[in-house]
Amino acid sequence: MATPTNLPASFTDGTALPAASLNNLRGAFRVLQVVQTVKNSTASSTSASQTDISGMSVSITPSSSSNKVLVTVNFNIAFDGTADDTSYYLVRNSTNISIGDFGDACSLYLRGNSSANQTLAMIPCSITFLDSPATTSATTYKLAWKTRVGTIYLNRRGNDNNFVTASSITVQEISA
Amino acid sequence: MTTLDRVLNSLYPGAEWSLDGDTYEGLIWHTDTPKPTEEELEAARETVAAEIEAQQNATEELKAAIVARLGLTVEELKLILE
Repeated sequence: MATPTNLPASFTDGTALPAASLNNLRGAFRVLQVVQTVKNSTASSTSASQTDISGMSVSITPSSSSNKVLVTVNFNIAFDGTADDTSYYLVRNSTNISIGDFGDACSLYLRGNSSANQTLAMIPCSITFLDSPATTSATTYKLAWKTRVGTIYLNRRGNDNNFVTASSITVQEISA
Repeated sequence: MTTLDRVLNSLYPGAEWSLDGDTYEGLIWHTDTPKPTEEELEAARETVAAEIEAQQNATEELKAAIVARLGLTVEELKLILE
């Protein structure tokens, strides 16, 4: 859809816009709603099975089934001294989305080096995905994770919780 | 005092759990064994903290002994590893 740069610079009473201009105008309002959840506390897990991260979910009800939902997740991850293979999943209701098509498919993968050195660092991560939920029902997007071994952390480093950050998940309904 | 995740990893190595925040209310136990009690975990915080500190001290002493055995300074070792 075109951006509204072709619209008249100004309007006067009685101005009638042609279809092309109306379509341009419609293009200016593609973001219909924005919903965000911010988690500013910590979470941790040793689960080797995919587990939802508490507080990292957001719900949106699309106004039309043909509209799309732009999902943006920003989060900070850390490891203890033993973690190596860790996986992160963007989930719509109970379905993983934005994942690979082979192997242990996930939305994002991080590899720790199983050493004490990694317990002092945090890794800023992001996932952005334009989803087509094809529904007008309330839809929940969330972040899940798992670790093969060791402990993974959200919003803190592995060594301690002296430095706590915030993570967020934001959804925007985009008109078709 | 230490964080609850370190208490869990010390008392229940290999157990699978999820923790929201640093309190017992946020603990979800994924392992088949019984979920530990809040009293047990809270009572262990100071003990585990002491164990961690002792372990860190032992590691530092070991590092110092190795450096001394090599006949190099820490700065010289860092220079080599850069």
